Amino acid sequence: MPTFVILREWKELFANRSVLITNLAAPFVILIMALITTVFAQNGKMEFVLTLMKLTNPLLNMAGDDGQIAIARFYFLLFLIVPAMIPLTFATTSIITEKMTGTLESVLVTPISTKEFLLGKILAFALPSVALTWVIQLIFLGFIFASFDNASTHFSIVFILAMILLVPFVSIISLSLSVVVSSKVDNVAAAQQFGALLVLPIIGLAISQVIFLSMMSNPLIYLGLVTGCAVLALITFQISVKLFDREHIISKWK
Amino acid sequence: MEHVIEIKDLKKSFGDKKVLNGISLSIGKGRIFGLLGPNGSGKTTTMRILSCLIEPTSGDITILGRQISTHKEEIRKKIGCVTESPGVYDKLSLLDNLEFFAACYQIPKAKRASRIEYLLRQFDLWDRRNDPAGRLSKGMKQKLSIICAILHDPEILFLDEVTANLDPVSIRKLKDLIREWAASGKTIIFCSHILTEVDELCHEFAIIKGEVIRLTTPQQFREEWTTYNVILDVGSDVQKSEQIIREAKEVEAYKRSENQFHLRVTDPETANPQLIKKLVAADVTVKYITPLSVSLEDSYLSLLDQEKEAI
Repeated sequence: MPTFVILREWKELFANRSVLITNLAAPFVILIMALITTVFAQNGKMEFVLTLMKLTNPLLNMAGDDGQIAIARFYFLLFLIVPAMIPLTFATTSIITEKMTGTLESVLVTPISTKEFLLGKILAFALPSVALTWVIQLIFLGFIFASFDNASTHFSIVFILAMILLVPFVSIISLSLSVVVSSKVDNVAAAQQFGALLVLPIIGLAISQVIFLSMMSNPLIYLGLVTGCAVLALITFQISVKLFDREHIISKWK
Repeated sequence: MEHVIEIKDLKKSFGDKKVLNGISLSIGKGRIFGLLGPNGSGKTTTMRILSCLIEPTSGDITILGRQISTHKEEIRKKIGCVTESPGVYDKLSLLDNLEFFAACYQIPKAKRASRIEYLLRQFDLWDRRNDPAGRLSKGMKQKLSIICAILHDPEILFLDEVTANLDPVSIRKLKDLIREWAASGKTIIFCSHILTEVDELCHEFAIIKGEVIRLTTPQQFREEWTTYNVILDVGSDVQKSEQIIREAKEVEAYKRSENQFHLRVTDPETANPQLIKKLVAADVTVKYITPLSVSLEDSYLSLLDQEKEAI
């Protein structure tokens, strides 16, 4: 375990407090949004907010009788954006800045292997985002179970476990892909634009909770999803190591 | 002499662009070896290949008896590399930077603190140890990157334009250290545009331009490019002097300009007194006679001019 790489990344993160705080605040904004929307949907108060939401997202109209719980599930899944997006911003910036400042060359000349170096980087950004996502997931779950009598019907143990287990895998997939992209492009903006594409499958999955609510209650779907993501995380990490083209990075980037 | 670096027919292309067209070199243990060449000649590419950063297109390279193609990790443990720009983490303190690189070089934890303190003191950076590297001057950062590269006490050290940001006192100190390292058996590959540094430090050097166009020592190179090594001023006795110079067997070649003669003599120490004797005997007033010094830079530029003409 390349703990020294993780510690170094964390020290750099903490030294860059303004960027850190901005990025760490984003998940709580999503949480607050989720809580407010669900509260409005639950109490039937402030209908105009719900109407407005349904206008901006017509899919919410299709939720049927279990509208409130579908919205809750939608947001619960939407939390997966946090482990996908937050570390991606840090990782792409970190890799590209390392090349620009010449530190990558100084590191790659040492005996550290590409696998060790990338694993350290990926874990350094994955661990805090995973912890943060689990915190907001638990807060939201606490709220759902305290507010909805039928919460356990739609938030089954399998569904909750699946969502919790998906967090680290989504994070690793996102970070591994960001490594691949960062080693191919030569600026932070290009890497992050490509990274934004990663959010689409997550949004698709969240929307599917609304459209196919009854079908999405099948535990096998979640078992398959978690297993698939675990395998994909492993594969994308191996690919990121293979495609981390030292020569391209060192010779072509200026 | 034991060779720690052996390069045979090294070639490197980036896409269609050929950068190295077959470099062959042997570098001995404990030597300070200079790598010279104009911009884009392949110096940095050669350094990067030797420091296992990039792959050669073809050719055999052996470092410390191990093939570079199959023993990269082992080789990396025994080499250090200081690149043109100081590759240190600006946000981290000097101690954090060095702790990190010590871990990268797998230096045992028990030895790290003492080694780091020793080197920081040696490079006069101990008092700044808790400051972020970004607050250091360019020269201090360069010192820090040198410390990062020698933390693990490497057997071979690649130095690419290391003196670029240093003040004269630090340059002097670094030169002394380089000589000390070489004396203790370490091999230094020194890449620089400052030819006086190469002249002062290097035991031998190669001028490359895609391939090795000259492999020599500073002394030999200067001699090779010295057309005239003595300057003689004879006042108004030019006609008489020219006849004596033309007939003198010590003089291999000469050029006249007004009252002065530029001479190439076999050995100035013995030739000059004999020539003076002949001139004085012929009633010529010798105003002065002095060795004409040719710098490595002059010789280097002459060679590059010749290469350009050949193209």
